[in-house]
Amino acid sequence: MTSLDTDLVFGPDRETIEQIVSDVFIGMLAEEAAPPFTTERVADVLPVLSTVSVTGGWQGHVVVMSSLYMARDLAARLLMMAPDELNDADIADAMGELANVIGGNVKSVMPGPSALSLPSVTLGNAEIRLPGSVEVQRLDLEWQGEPLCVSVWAADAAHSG
Amino acid sequence: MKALIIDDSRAMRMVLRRIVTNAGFDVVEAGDGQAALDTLDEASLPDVALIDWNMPVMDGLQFVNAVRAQPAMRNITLMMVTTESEQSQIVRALAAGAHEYLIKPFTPEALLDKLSMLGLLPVGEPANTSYETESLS
Repeated sequence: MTSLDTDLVFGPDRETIEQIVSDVFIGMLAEEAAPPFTTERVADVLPVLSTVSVTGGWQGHVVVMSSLYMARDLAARLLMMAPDELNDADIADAMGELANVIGGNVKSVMPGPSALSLPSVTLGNAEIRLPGSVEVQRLDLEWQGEPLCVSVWAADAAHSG
Repeated sequence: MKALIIDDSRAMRMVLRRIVTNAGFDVVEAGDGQAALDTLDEASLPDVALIDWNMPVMDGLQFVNAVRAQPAMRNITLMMVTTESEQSQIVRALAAGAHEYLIKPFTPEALLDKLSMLGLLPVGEPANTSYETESLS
């Protein structure tokens, strides 16, 4: 990871990310509350990686990363299907929408105007590769013993040429 | 009452479907604005369209513009349901002809409140959100 220069790159504060993720769990997943967040990194690499990009007044990316079990369970809840009925496209769709909703809300608290990309989802232990960007915020949680991580990456003008 | 749900995410379409179905709506779905236009039959138009903004092929704003350009479809109530929450985007959508705007993530109550304010909940049909515990337990 590139070293963070806060004069050049910035992102939303942790409380904002916590609120957005809480709203997602309550609004989309009908949970009574968000799972407890942790300040420890639950993992560096996880099998399901969903990314949306923001371009405009603020430039960066929002990444949602989870275990396959977690992704399958979230997809099953959203699609109202049994986990073993889901295929990879179902999981990618659900995780893409999670990234879309979280990313859209991150975009809304950053300087605009800006545009949000469609989500990109990778299944299978892909590392986060966002050249020219640095991680500026990260939120880890465990839900039913399974890890999920939301990270915000800002374009680093000093390193992107 | 008939609702047209337009979202490229099947998961989000399902979330919306179970809310409005529980409120008594018949539902038609489309994965983008063009697919939604293709479903519109002047003999059986939806009462309300719930429209995502960011979609491939034809986005939600383009769909609103396309519907508003057709007088035969002027009675369809258009509600954006989207993560786009910048004030300028909300103004653009409303200026184009959207009636309401709901930002994701939302609670079922928030959507039902909007539908109620628009006079779209079937008469005598309380806003039933009990599905939350029934379907997700």
